[in-house]
Amino acid sequence: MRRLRPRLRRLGSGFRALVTEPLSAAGISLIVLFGLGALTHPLLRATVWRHNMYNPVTGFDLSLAHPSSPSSVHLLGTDVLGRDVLSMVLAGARPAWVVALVAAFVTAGVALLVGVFGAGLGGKVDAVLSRVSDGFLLLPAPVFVLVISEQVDLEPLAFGLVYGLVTGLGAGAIVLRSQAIKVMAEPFVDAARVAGGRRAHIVVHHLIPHLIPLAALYMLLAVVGALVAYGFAAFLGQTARTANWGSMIYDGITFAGYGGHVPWNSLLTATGALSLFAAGFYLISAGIREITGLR
Amino acid sequence: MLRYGARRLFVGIVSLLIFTFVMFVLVEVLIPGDYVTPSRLFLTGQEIAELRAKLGLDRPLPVRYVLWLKALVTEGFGSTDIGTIGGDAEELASAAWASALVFVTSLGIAYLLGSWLGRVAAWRRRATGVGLSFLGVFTYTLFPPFVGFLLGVLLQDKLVVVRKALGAATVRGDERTALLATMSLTLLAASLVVGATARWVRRHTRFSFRASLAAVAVAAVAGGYWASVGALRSALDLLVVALVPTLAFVILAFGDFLLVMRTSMEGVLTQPYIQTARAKGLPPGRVRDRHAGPNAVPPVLARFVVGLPYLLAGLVIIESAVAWEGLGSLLFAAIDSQNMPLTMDILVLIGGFTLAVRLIAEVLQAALDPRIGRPA
Repeated sequence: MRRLRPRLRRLGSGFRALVTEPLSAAGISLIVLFGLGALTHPLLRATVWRHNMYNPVTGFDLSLAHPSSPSSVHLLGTDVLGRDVLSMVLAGARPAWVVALVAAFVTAGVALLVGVFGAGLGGKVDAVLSRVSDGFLLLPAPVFVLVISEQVDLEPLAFGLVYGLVTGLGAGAIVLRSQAIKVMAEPFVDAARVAGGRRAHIVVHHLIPHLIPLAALYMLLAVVGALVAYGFAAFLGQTARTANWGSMIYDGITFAGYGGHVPWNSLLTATGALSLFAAGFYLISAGIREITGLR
Repeated sequence: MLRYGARRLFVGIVSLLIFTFVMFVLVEVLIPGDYVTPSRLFLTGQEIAELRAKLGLDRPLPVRYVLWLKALVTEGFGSTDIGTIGGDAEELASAAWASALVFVTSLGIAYLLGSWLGRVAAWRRRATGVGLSFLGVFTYTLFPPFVGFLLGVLLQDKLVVVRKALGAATVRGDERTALLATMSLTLLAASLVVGATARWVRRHTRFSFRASLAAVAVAAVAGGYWASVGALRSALDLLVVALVPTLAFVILAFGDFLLVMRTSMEGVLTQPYIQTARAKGLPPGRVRDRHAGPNAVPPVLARFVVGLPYLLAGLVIIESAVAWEGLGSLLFAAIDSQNMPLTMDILVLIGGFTLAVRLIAEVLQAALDPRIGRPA
């Protein structure tokens, strides 16, 4: 408890800084909004949207011609296939959250592990890990997941995992390794060593806490790429069995060719949701950059 | 420094080899089936086996990797066994230059626009800066196919009119590839010449180039060259066709330049020499663009080198979204037909380009900073 309290206080002051910086404050509110969206969908389906026409994948309202404009029954109208747009947009938040969270934590975890191992052990291990990271850095992670998902139907979980592995092993590991080398050369590390701290103690209590902000930065940037790539994979026809924003956008653009008018209600809400959700994570990373001066 | 460059080149080639091997294994392991699989409904079992044997698909994975690598090294891109079926080399060259044209043009515009807005964002009141940063973030995260679609809806009719007015004959095949290559290279060369001139002018005269003037100068130099070789009309026609992917890429790419420039510029503006320049009563625009601006550029370039894979990923997505026949469209076509050697060639092209840019940046950095790459 005595060791926990200063840490909690430090965490609190870091959070306050994030909330007062306009960029990250906007980002946090956007993400909270989408979190609420993902949570309310199952609740609404269990209460006011019990009718099957609110099913985001197979729903159809028999009483209307589709696509329909917003009405009291369908607050954002229906799409070309007769599904409730609001229900689809809210349901699409769920796979997006899965991709975002998995990609974020896999990127940060892998990057921390590889970076700390490389910088901490040095020598041959470091040389091999660095070459592998250099190799992965040559590959744009979004292109790689798109190549894979073009032929293999990746679930949101697998998609985030593959994306996180590629970014974590590549850019993330390289940046964290160089930062770790910088931290290990700081005087306070020497002080800890002289005071009798073992290597494991120094890594856990001195090195990793100093790497966390940078790891957070890269993890947020990875989420932006992962979300756009996931949206595009869905746009190309993958993962279409679940309700998601990419396939909504695809339907909107494709059916704009039929009947001559663009179904703006589904198109704009889906692109808006995808972009704003991704922007939320990017805004927080931009806020962290403003506050800490990290790059 | 030459020795440093050679060492970096060697290390780079080793990473490229690791990269190709990892990609080959992952692509082969994660994607089931091969080039013959899509057409298996029309073939008998024996024909399938014969075709597999002819294409070398029945060999074990490491052998296939070595064969592919050998073909790539000795015969160049797009020349693997499977490639002889579709004539991949020509297609790859045409796609690569088509991508290069969009990449060079739009990156140049995005850099000029983004760094200018970034300078303004750091210079003006905080509210303006924050507003511009929001603009940067929201354009950066727009969904590429949607941007392409909107531009198409807005511009398609007008582009048709403009192309009719130009009245250029449609160029096809090798001629088109050659034209695309000429255009990309002249635009690149013109930007380098104008950039060097602008730098010289800034150092030696009281005059400094504005971003808009630099863009006009590049267009004039490149256009002049095209006119002199008698290809101006068809070059302009191609640029009009490329307008939608180019604009889409500018919209998606300038935001990142803006954000990095703003942060970097804010750092520079706290330096005492800026205070001095303002206290001497110099016009604010002059302090911003001549005194502070150039010193804020290095972090933007460093970020450009690090962010290059993501810019290329954006290009791949945009191209296949607006059906511009570049590397992105070819990549997805290659995966759809399970043409793995061609897929690998495109990935290597992307990786090799990234590597080349990084090497140039590293050697330049070593040339500018005596502390890098020399024994302490």
